[in-house]
Amino acid sequence: MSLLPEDDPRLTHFVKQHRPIVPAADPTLEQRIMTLVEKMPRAISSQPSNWQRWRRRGMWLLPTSIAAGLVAISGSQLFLSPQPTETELAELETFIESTWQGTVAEQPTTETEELYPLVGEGAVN
Amino acid sequence: MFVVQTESDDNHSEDDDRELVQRSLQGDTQSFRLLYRRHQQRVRAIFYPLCAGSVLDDLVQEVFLRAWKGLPKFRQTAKFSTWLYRIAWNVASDQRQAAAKGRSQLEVLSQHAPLQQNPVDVMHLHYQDLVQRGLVKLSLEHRTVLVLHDLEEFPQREIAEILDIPIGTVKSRLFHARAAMRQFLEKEGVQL
Repeated sequence: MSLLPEDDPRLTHFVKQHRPIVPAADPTLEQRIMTLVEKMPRAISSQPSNWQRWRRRGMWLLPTSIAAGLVAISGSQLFLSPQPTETELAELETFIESTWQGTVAEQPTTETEELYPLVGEGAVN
Repeated sequence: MFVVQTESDDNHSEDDDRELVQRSLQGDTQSFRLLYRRHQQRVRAIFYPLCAGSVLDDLVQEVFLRAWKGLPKFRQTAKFSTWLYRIAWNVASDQRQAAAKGRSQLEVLSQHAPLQQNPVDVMHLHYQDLVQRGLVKLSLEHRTVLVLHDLEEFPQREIAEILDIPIGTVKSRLFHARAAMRQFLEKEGVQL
């Protein structure tokens, strides 16, 4: 990643060898800390941690998210499905009209209509 | 005074720490006492080069009190020691002013050193003083990275986590800290 030298072993060894000597803790330090700790006891276990709260929220969010996702997908399919053009609609309308006329006519009026019920009047004349 | 054993607290497992944390969360102060005993020495070792020795006990106390108060916020998936050292770093940052006024280690050593020393001991004390003065000359950020990496042997990734900085910044600070330390020591006549 960089051209920086990773190690300087001689320097590191020197610093480590002559590192500052840490003074020993006051013999009473541990007890001092524990006395302060014991003065502030609390029912920690009854309080869920942020992590636990987050996890719980996450569990509630999961089914909600799935449901919302499904709704979004079905909605998008509804809007994204192809719509027929005006030409196609006109053709469809013409077809339905001609088919419908042939179907609902009670009796053929001419021989041609009887033989070819789906052919329009223009064709007969 | 004693020499810090950097590996002394490393033998316990993270699982043990987790168990003690769990018990501490139930209000078991004795488990927290064990956590203190496990980690206090390394916390001291990290603090001492960063802050004045006179406030060392107070800072260690502050770290463990903050840890006790903050235990409910501790993520159980995280490493306890990393979390604790992060608290230590926050305490050290808060004490930045005090750190700038750190006494010369030579003063401390001269108060405790026996009157008669053999030449080897004198040189060792002299070098200790140089290292301490070299550390004090570094910025707190550079000093911290040098202490954590070169003295306490933390992996760079964990240092990045403790200090909440990118690993590239750790590398960069380490490079500059070493360069400054080397320059200081060489200027003082140390042959590296």
